[in-house]
Amino acid sequence: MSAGEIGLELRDVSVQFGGIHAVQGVDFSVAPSRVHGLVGPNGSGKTTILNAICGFVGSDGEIEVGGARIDGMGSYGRMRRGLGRTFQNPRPARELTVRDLLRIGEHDRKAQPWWQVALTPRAADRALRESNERASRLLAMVDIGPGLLEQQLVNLPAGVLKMVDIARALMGAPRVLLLDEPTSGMNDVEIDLLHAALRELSGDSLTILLVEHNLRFMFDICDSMTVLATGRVVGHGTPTEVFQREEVIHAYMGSSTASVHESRPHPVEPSAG
Amino acid sequence: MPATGSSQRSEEAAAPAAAPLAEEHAARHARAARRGLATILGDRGVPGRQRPLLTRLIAVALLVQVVPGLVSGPNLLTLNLACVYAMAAIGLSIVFSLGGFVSVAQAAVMAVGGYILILLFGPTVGFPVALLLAGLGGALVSALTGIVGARVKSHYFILISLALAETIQLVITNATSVTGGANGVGLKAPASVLGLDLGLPTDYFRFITILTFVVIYLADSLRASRAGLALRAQTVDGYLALAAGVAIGRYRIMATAIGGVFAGLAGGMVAIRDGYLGPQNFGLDTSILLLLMVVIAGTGRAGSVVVSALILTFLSQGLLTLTSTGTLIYGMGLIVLIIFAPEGLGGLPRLARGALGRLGARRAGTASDDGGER
Repeated sequence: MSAGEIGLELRDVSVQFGGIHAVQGVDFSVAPSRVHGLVGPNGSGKTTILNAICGFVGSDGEIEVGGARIDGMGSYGRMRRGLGRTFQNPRPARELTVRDLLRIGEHDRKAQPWWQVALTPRAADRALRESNERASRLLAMVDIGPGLLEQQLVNLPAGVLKMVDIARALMGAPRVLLLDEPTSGMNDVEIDLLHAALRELSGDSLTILLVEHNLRFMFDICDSMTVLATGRVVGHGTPTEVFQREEVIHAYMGSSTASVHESRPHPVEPSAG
Repeated sequence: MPATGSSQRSEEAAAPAAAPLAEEHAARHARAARRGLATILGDRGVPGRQRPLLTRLIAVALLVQVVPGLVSGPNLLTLNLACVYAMAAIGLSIVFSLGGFVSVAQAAVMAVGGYILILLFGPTVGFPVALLLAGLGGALVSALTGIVGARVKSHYFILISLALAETIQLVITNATSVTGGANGVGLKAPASVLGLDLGLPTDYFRFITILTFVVIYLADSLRASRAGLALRAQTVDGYLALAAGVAIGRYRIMATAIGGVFAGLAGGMVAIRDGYLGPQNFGLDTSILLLLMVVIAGTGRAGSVVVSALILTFLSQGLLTLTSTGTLIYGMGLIVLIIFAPEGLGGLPRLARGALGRLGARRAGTASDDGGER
């Protein structure tokens, strides 16, 4: 395959936490405009794979974004190479507003040194206005009005905060978007909105990698899936193929209530024994 | 989907709160657009930007004209000291609320700036150059703590900054040939700048006020910038900032360096104010006082840091004359303040609004009870 046809590729990626293999020899690749899902029971290493791609945990193996190797870079460099990442439980600073969070997400897409605010207020205003417009557009995509920009993040309901976090990741104009449990905390209306938004984004040649416990959502939106168990790949396939597999059904039936425990990047992710 | 039910409820609860806020916001901007004055003052209606520069300039001009006529004698000297401390405390609030470091080395960073100025300033090196070098020296020393601090957890950083502070004190006390040791060192020449004779308390006040406003403006610009927002985000959730492509380590070091510039300038201005420097000017008690100013200011906005610097400087200076009783009152006052204003001075307006709101609600509640039930 030529480099242009690959959005995200992992080759033989492994993660160890003090002798425990959380993820071992994972391979998969996702083409641009495709939505790829990671499924597996808790502790199978789904979030750890997202963290390895972001560089939040150290990993062995090769990771490519748009044909360029990003393993070996720090998180900051990887994000600059076109990664975007959302969190299962975003923990924003208390007093920041939605606007502030979205501006942070803009990072070096529009680099504005801090002294620009002091020395050239007009240029800073222009940058701020552009940032505001972009933020409003992104929020409109998930049916959130610009009035919400002034809200403090602590006052947002969980589902709206998740939407805002996704918009934050999109502010950096990523080529590859990693979503960690995007629908948890969202109601049915919000899930439908998210579905439409993700479809629109992937049509815009965005590569999406999804970790999710909402199987209906996964089934509807994913083009392909990788099934994981205890940190290893047990199979790839389309959603229809994957959901016919006995072990997938079993794993999800047995673990649906414990889904909240696997969440943020953390060195002691529960490893399945 | 187990989460759907609960999120639906919270959604309903927050929706009415968000809607009036949006309307209020739109209305505020419509008002601002109609106001001709707003355009003159530089408020071009971009939400999220800081206070316009022109209002600040007018405030400085007023202060510089009016205050030296009203305040004199020891009070003016204390006011000058308060401005010096305010500059250093604003620097510390950047280190604290943007860098996420609790530092007890800020007075030591001031000492570096102070000694650089007092040793360099003379017939060969002019005052502005010496003051700039003082700021630069402060930046370098403070950035050093940032470089070390970016690798350790916050509570270890306190120890690192303590070690730095003690090291600097020891160097000053023992490098007798350069610093004069415990005897201190005097200013070699009278300083003047912009036609102001800094030996006069009134002219000193004019200059330090301008300098303080420059520091406030720069600090607020930093907070309002994308870098400042990213720094505020990383103090709560480093992963969130990393995911937003923020080079956290580099930004934190930058925050300590900027905080150091302000402390270095403040140290230089101590040297000018007293005409003399000794190691006792920059002891641990001064660092703690600066930290208290930041904590009591609460929000980290430069304006509230200045207010708490004014209050604490006058308290500590005024109560010094009462000796041990004074220290007791000072300590108890701080405890009372922290109990009743846990978010600091910056949180007071919100506390007041909350209290007034509750009072209003109670009055409305009793009125409706009276009407409804009896």
